[in-house]
Amino acid sequence: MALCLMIVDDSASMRQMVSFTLKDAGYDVIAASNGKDALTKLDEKKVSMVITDLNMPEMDGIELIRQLRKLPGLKFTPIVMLTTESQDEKKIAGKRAGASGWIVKPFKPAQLVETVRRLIK
Amino acid sequence: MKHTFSQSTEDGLLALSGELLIENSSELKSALCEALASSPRLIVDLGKVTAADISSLQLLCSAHRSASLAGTSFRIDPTGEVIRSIAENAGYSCRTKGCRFAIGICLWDPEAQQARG
Amino acid sequence: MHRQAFREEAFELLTELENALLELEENPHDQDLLGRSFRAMHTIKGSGAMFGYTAIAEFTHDIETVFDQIRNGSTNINRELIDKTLRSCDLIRVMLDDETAVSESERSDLTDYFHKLNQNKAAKGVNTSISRPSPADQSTAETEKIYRISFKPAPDIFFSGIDPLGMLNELRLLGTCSIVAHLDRIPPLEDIQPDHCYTYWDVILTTTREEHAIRDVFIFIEDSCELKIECIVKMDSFADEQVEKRLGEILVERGELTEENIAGILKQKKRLGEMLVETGLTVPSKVAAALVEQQQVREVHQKRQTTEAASSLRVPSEKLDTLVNLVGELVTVQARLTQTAAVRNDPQLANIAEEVERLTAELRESTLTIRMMPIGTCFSKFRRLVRDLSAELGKEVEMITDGAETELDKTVIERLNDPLVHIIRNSLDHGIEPAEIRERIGKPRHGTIRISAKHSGDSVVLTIHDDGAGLDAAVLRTKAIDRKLIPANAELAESELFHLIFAAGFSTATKVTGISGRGVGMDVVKKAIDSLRGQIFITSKNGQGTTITIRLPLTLAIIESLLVKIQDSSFVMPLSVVEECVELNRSDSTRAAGRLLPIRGTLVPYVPLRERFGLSGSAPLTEQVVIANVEGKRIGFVVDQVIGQHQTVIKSLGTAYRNVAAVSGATILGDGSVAMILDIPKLMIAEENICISP
Repeated sequence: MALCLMIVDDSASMRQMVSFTLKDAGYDVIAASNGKDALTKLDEKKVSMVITDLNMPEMDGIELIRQLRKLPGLKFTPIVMLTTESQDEKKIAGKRAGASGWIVKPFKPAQLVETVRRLIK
Repeated sequence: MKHTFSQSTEDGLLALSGELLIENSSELKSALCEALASSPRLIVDLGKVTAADISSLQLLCSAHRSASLAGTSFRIDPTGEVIRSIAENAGYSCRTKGCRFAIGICLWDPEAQQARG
Repeated sequence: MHRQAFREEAFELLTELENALLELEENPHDQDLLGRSFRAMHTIKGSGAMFGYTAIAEFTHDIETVFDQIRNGSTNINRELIDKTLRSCDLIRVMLDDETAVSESERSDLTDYFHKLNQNKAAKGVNTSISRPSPADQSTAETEKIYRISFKPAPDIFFSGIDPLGMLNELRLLGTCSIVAHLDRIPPLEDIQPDHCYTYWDVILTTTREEHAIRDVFIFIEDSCELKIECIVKMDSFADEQVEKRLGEILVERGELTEENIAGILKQKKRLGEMLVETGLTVPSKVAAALVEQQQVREVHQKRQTTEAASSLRVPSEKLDTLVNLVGELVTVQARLTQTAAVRNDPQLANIAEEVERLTAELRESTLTIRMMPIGTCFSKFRRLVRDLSAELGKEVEMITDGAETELDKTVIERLNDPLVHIIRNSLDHGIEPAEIRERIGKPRHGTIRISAKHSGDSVVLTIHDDGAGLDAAVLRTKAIDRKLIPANAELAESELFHLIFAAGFSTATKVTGISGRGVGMDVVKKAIDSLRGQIFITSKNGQGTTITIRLPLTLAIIESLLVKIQDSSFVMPLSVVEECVELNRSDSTRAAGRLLPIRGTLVPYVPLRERFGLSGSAPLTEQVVIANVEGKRIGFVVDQVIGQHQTVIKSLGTAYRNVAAVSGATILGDGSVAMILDIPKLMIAEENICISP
């Protein structure tokens, strides 16, 4: 059974691109458009990793990470942040909230897969 | 993760199966605590473990230590392929002599494991 | 595909942004509107870069930053800013269709505007972007390095969703890895926090990758774990002396222990690792980690040696000996084949035999060269000897070697060691004078001993020269007379007098020293050289020095020899000592005259080997005398028949024959029978003694 990953991003094209890349790498993917959406969808399915953007409406990435770490099923699940070069502070805040790692945008599909493989258990 | 404890005339047997991962670490800790408290000779069966990580290796070490302090006999039998390979990958099984926190040989000493079969 | 999706998304975002901007004119402090504007720019920038719209990403970057500042309240929104942003939206729309449609100059006023706004704030240091080198490193240098990695994760590492095991596995992918987990921090069950990490690791990694490739493995937790990466060995700096670090050194280097700790323990003469653990100075895993490091460094070193020796192969010497033996047997069989072919008078077989003979000869040649070793391997030992001895004797001596690359059979080199040591000791002890004396007589303070080797035909010539006092012929003569080695009235040439030092029981040192001159004289050296079928000579000039010359055959395994027969027994004599063969008739009157044979004007003594070896049967009417010449002395050996030249593969005899002085070995002949190899020098000495005694 393929491992299931979640991508959280308010940009549809990003969601599409990440989903496509990860499915190609053999994973199942659920997409959510913001933190709230993600929390709702996670109620329905168990995931092995969450990849999340930081700047999102409704609930941003940092808050989402905080919430996820409170859930018993996601306490130890790898969470990857999608950041940009100019977001070092966000990166630190994300780490503090419990993120496992990050990918700096722009990234190549191969880099994404590499990071996923590095962190997934 | 599943655990069952049974007590024969002499030995207590704690059989662990399934995933021994960080998610279940509290559960594993309680299982080990209870088993140690109930038997002066404890055998832990890891043969049916399907996954493990650092947290479970640490807990087994810790239990071994507690057992030594309490004078309880503690051994793993069988170790099972999953645990054996994880212990090796994690660098647990390159002990030369027993650790100084436990009496006798180390849990992960490959030769000791072999001797036990 | 993704590009198209992005374009559509971007158009939507731009529309949303325009609406937000227009509303912001009315409510400039609406956080929600500000957030939406910022996110729109952020997505256009981020996703734009993702999908190859680099010009848009660049262009949007400054605008995004400005909106971030407005959102944080560090910049105020105004009409001009909204105007400029709206104009930017228009440009982005055009660029989404065709990035090149808008030239840089067209956007420059906008770019400059937003850039300036940013720079005003830059002093506040809002944004710092650190870019690290791409993890896809080009390992340009293919040299292997050994890294020592200490990795102590934060106790709460599991809560960041990171499994240290994954990192260890990633390290394994970089090269050869030895991992030792330290378990000493794991508390007993009562005190353990099951979701905390107590384990920490020492990893020894051999890899061609650079340090940053290793750091990249830990990139996500770099700032929350204790990580130390040290390059302990670079392959190109693998100097031999630094290879094998001792366990104690490694532990001190790692900062686990101090030198004093180690010194204290070493006094107790047990295995260091065990002692350190017993005394509680360290835990077993630390020792294990250090041992692992030692092991891996050793392995890498061996691997490097193997790579270095790729063009030359290391073979155990027993294998070589076996090969030589096999070639020896082949030579023997080949001889039988040649003999059989000759007997059968079969031209076809003779052709094959000839071919086999040629190939065997080549094979023999090349096999013997395999056994050759440069003599320099034994020279290097002497350097140490000279150094130590001269210190002991209080003399200043320099050793010079020459022709260290000269090759000799390895057995010869091995057996040459002791005699050479003896010669060098003699030179240092008796030859070279103390520095003060040398100075007084106008010689340089330090003496020189020169050892050189060179090829000369089928032998190797070794010379050991010292610039010491030299031999005093007069003193030698007196001593020889004292020791009854020569008659008091003997008239001997200088060279003959010098040669006396090889006689048994001769020692020129007037006082016995610990280094040489205690019973073991040069006669032992001579015997050793004889056993190698070599020859030794000495020349000397009083006050100027002594030169000892040793001539050795290239190999011991196969010799050219002369095959002879007495009755049914075959014997071989090394061709190197055979001078000529003459006939001896029974009727010859010289027989009665004390067994001397006139050869070109001189009388040469001869020995009938039949008699010597007590062989049965009677001698033929015409016997053969083989005249041997050893160091200028000639002697004849009477045999029944001379068969001819023979390639002799030497087989050593068992211990039963060790004390038989007349034979030095045996060989197998073409017909499968055994022939003894005659030890001519020894036979000669034995005969001389018999001759002199009556």
